[in-house]
Amino acid sequence: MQNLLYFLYRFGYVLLFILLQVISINLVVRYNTDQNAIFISSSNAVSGWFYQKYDAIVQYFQLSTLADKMSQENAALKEQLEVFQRKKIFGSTIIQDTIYEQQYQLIPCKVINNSVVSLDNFITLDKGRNDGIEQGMGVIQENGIVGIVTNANLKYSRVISILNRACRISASVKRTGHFGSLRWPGGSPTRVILEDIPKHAELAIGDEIVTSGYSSIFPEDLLIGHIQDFQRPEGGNFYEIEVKLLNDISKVKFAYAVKDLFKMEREQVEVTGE
Amino acid sequence: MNQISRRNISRLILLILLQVLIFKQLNIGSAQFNYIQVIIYPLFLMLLPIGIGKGWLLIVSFAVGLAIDMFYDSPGVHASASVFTGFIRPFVLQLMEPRGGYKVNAIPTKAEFGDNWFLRYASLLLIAHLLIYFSMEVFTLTELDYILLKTFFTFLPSMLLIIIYMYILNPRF
Repeated sequence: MQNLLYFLYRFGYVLLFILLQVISINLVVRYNTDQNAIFISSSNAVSGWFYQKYDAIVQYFQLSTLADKMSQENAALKEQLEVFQRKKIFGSTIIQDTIYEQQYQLIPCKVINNSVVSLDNFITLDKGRNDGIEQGMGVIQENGIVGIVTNANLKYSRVISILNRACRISASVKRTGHFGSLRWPGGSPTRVILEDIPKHAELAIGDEIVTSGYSSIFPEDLLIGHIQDFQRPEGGNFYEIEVKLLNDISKVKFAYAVKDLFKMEREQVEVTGE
Repeated sequence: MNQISRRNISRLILLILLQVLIFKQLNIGSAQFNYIQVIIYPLFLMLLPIGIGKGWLLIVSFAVGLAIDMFYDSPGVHASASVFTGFIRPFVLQLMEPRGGYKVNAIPTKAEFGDNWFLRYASLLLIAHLLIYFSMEVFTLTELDYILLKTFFTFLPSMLLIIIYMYILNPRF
């Protein structure tokens, strides 16, 4: 007994070290497989509040560039509206068109925390369930996609960035229609890899890559980027395509969470077949 | 609460703020070269009193790592690296013990042991910390070159900033 106590006195800290390492590794592993049930994340109240205050200060220094960007985006939207309105005015018949029923609603958010240097990057948004953000919603930017909401509390939400090893997004080559999934290999924040495009597809450098619309996360045909390079690995049946993203995630300040208003109906038919 | 713990707590708050609000937000490097990060919070672990119990040192390290993880969205990664740093610190101190031994209440600072000693001490701990950090982040040993490159290019700016910190504030306890 005395020996045991002496041993604990002498080497107890080694046991403690092992215990704490096991807890840490457990956290790392569990976090990667089970992203919902995690307490420590930047969407939790403390760090969310913190980042928001920080952002409120820093934003003053970027106001002029932000205003420029916003007005550009406004102009682009106005142009589209113009086209749309003209169609309506000169349309010859009046159609009660249910096809044009709005499917996607965009919720504007501010990015209050972001990183691109890690291999598993996350983004924090300043809106949460109070503003209608839910887990599983896509997040886009005016010129590209940003990521997918992994958890949301009342005031903040956390987004798994497309620059994250665990993130897979369904995308297709617009010209040929083949679809595959996007994955980030690390490194450059504007370069991702498109996988699972079968090798009989005829690709060309510069082809547009768009969202596939096979899930209700992102609207269909949203431009993501262009093919920069592609190769066929020896013996493989699929291409490995390098895609250059249109947007630079390291500079994103404002984003839109995509709410699919038909999501319930879609899931209903896919799950129960009714 | 005595002066030493007050000083350590304020240092902890300062370092976490610097780490999270300034150095995490830096995205240095270009599209092709993405290896630079700045990690200075291990300085807190380095500057804890030499006399602190080994068990307490581990617990404090774990708590600091978890606090940083909360802001980095990486549960466990910083905690694991910190616990490792806390674990090897007594050995590093033993290795670098000056001829007369340590005084009971000594703090391993530049002011107490000199520039050269502190530089070696901090470098050893920081390299160990970064190696474990990036290994835990990647979580496979197949990307050894990535781990080593990241460690190297993160070590340089981080160490520089630690030195600058020590020169500006020159903490004595």
